[in-house]
Amino acid sequence: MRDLPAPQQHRAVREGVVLYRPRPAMVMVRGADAYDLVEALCPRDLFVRTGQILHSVVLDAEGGVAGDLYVAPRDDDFLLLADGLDDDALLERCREVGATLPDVNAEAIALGATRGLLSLAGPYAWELLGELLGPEIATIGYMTCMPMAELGEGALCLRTGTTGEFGYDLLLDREGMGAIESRLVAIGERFELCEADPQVLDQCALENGFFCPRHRGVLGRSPAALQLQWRVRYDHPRLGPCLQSGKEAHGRAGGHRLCWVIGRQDEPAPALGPLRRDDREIGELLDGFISPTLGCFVGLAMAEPALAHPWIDGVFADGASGQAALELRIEAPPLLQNRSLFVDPRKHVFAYRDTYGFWPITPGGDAP
Amino acid sequence: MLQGAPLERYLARRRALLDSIRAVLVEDLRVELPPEQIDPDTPLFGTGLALDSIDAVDLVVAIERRTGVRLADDAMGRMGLRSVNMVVNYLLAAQEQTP
Repeated sequence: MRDLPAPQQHRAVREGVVLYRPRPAMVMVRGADAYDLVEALCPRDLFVRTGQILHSVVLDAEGGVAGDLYVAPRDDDFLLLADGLDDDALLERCREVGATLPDVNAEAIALGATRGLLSLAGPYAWELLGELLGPEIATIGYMTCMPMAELGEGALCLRTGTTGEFGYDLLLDREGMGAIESRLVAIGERFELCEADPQVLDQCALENGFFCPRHRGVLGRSPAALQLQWRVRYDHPRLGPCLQSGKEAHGRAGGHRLCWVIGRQDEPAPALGPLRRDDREIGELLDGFISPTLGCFVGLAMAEPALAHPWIDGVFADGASGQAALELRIEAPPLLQNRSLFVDPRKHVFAYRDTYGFWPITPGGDAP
Repeated sequence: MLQGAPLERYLARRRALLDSIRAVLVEDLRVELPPEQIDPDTPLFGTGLALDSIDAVDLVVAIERRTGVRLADDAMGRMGLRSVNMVVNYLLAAQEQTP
């Protein structure tokens, strides 16, 4: 498999397919009261059935976001994947919420020692995976999953992803993972498959507006501050009071809201820290990087809600190493036009990718 | 750089359109969230509000009814439906092009 520098990994995510190995906490909740335990852990209505995946967050004791949470029912059991936590931390959170339930008959079992994830992302990820598992893989809807008995007992294919491109996670027995990876790598030669570093995937998530627990400065903030209120319900029987108090504290503190910023083409990355507009501090630049795809700085910031709107320009951050301040502009994610929006498994294949008149990935480019 | 009265006008137009789209989502598409809980950068399809292809048709019709702007059935229209803020961006751009 090709080992490429980061800019080319970005290009493969946006135009081809990459392989990576995410390491979220993985826990299976079993027992007669499994639903009750998961309902107490998940701050969102647990309206989800086998084959679907519910996207929510793990909260800390103060109602701040501690991680990304996928809930996938498996008949009477629940598979939990939590990015930003390890197995022990997720088990501990299950124990904490379980202690609030009287006589709960449910058991949380860590899977990380015996199971692992092998993941693909990119506009042609469906095609590569289809060569391994059959063309019906392209019909799996986003945020759904299906068993893959041909990959081993209990194997599961989850259609998820945080890059805005087609994304698949294969949940596999660790003993068989190496053989399956070898098959993917062998097939992947025709797809110029490369391995992507976790940091590249996290940067792609930032470009697309996905929450990522490894983005600097986001953990512990309220769902309201992070624009993740769709993942919670404030009248949740157990987590509601803590969520509500977090929301009220956020409001009292001035309610800065997460927003996305971009710099000018070919300018360097600014220093993380205060953001100013009209010589007044309006927020803080939390994280960012020079995007090889867009050719400019892209970042995450907390800003006054009155100004945290797209197309607000004249926002300045200090230059790195004491250089002149750099101008940024607030933008709405996704910051690019994902190729996966236009790749249709019924019409397109990787081999002829350069012959299709797709829309440009960079906004503002010429239409086909 | 947007400043002073032009900035205030821009923000007022943006907030008004944001409120309109939230009203469409809650009243026309029956999204089960209070309007103030629909954050501006909430995705509309797949994750986020998890609307489906039938909702997309209802959304386009309701937006046209409330704002007079028809989201084109092309790539630009498709990208304009990716989040609440992207819809607002599309509507603002369309209003600026209207004489």
